[in-house]
Amino acid sequence: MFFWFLNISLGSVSIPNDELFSILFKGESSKESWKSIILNYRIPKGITAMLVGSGLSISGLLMQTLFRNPLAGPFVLGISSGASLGVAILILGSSMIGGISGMAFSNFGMAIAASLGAFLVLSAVLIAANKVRNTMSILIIGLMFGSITSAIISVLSYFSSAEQLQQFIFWGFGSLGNLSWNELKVFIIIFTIGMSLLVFIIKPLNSLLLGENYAKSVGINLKFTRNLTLIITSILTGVITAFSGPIAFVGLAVPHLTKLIFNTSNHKILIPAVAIMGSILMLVADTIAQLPTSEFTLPINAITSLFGAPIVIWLLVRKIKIY
Amino acid sequence: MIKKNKHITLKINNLTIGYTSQKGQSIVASGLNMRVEKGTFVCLLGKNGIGKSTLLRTLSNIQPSLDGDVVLSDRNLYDFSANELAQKISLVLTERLPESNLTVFELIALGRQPYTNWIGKLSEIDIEKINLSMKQTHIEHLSNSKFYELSDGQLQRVLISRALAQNTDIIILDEPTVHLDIQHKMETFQLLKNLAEELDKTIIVSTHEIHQAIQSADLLWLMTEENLTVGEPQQLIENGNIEKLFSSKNIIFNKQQQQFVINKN
Repeated sequence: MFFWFLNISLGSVSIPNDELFSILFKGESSKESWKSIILNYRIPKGITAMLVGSGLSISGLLMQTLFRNPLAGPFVLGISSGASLGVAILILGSSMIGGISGMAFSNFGMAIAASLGAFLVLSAVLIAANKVRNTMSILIIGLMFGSITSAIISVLSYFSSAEQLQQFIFWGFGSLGNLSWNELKVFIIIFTIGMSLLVFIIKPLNSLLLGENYAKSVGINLKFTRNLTLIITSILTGVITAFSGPIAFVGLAVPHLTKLIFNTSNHKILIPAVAIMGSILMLVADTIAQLPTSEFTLPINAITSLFGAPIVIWLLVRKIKIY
Repeated sequence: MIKKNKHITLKINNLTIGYTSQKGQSIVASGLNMRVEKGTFVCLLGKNGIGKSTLLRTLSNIQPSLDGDVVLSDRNLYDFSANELAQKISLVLTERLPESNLTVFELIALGRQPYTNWIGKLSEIDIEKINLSMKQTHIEHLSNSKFYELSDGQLQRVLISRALAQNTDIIILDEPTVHLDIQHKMETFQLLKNLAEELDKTIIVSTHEIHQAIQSADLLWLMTEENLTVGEPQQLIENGNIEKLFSSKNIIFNKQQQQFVINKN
C-alpha cells in the first residue's frame, strides 16, 4: 500500500501530498487538472503495475515448478515472444488482411492475439519438453522458439508501413500508463479469471516438487495439472503482454527473490508471497522509471532489465543449489 | 514362521511388460505370474537391463502393461482411480529429487496428499501419521532440516518415511540402497524387513544386493531372460535357481557364503 501511494504521488506533474489525499478520500481538489491526472492516469497506472508485477511473477513461479528448472520464466521460454508475435501479426499484418483492422487496434483484440500467441508457443515448448527429458535442452528449445518468433516479427516489420512499425515498437518498450479505466476493467476481469484458477493447482504443484513420478504416485492427475498450469500462464502472460508490452525479467527474478526471503517451497505460501513481491517490485520499478527527470518517463522495460539481469547473474554466480 | 494373515495383496496374471512407441511394442518380459501375501518382504533380483524397473513401474501404474492383469486386493489395477491407487501403493524411486526448499517434514507430508483436501491442508490425523512414520524410520531429529542437507543414507530413510506416511498396503522401492555404504545398506534392509513384519506391509524391493536379499527377504523374485521365478531364498538356493541369475561363466554362486564369487577354475 505504501509503495502504491509513493507510486501515485510521483510523476511529471508534482502534486502536493495533502492534495493527493483529499483527491483520494474526498474526491475534491483545488485544481481540476490534478484530480484528473490522479484519477484517470496515476491510479490506473498504479493498479496496472501491481497486476503486471504479480501476474508475471506468478507465471514465472509456475514455469519454474512445472519445468523443474530455476531458469524457466515466461520470457526465457519464449512465451512473451509468442505474445509479441500475436500482437505483431495483428498490428503489422493487418495491412495484408485489411478486413479485421477495425478491431485490430482495440486493446481487446490485442489481448486475444497475445494470449493465442503465448499459448501456441507454450504448447510447442511443452510438447518438445515431453520428448526431451533434459531440462537444459528445454530451455534452449524455448530460446529457439523465441528467435523463430522474432524472425517472423522482423519479416512482418519489413513489409509494414512506418506508422504501424512505430506503433509496434512503442508497444514493445513496455508501458504501464496507457490504460483507460475501460481497458483496465477488461484487464482486471481476465487477470482475475487467470488468478482464480490458481487454487486448483496449489496442491499438485507442491507434489511436483518431488518430480512427476512421485506426483503421480500420490494420485495427482499430471495431464490436468500441466494443462491448467499452461492455460493460467498463457492467460496471465498474454493479457499482460497485450496491455503493457513484453516486460522482461520480472517473471524470472521475483520468484527467486521470494524463495530466498521466505526460504520455503510450499506453494500455499509462495503464490501469495510472489504476487505481493511482484506488485511491490513493479511499483518500485515504475517509480524509478519516472524519477530521473520529472519531464518524461523511461520505458519500464529498461528498468526491469537493468534491475532483473544483475539478480539473475548474481544467482548464477552464487550457484545456489537450493533452487 | 506361521503367517497370521493369508490375505493376497498383489496378484499378477500373465503379465507382459514393455514399452509402446511409434515403431510398435518392445516387450521386456512376458507371461509373468505371481501372488504376494500381506506382510511379505519381497526382493526382486536380476541383472542390469533385465526389466526390474519396468516391472516395478508397471506394478505401480507409472507405465501401462502391454497385456495381462495386475490385481490388487481382488480389484484390477486399472479400475482404481489415481487417488484410490495412491492409497494402495506408495513408491520410493531412484530418480534424483528436483531442487527445492522442502524440509524433511514437508517432504514426508507430501505423502499425505491422497488424504488431504483440495488445498492440501494437513489435519491432526495427517500430522500424527507423519510423526509416526518419522518415528518408525528413526528420523525425528531431522524433521526441520532441508532435504538437500541430508546424506544419502538419511535421505533414503526420509523417502521411506514418506512412503510410510502414505499409509498403503504395498510399498515399492526401486534399488533403494544403490548409493549407500555397506552399513546403511544393511540398516535399510533391516528396516524394511521390520516394517513389513511389524506393520504388516507388503514391501517390494528391486536390488543388486543378493547377499542381503537372501538374508532378509521372505520371498525372492528372480528375473531372467526366460522367466520370473518366485520362491523363498533357501529353497531357491537349494534348487539352484539363483545360479541362473547370471549366465556368465566368470562368476558362480557360492552356497556357503550365500553370494556370487569369481569363478577361479
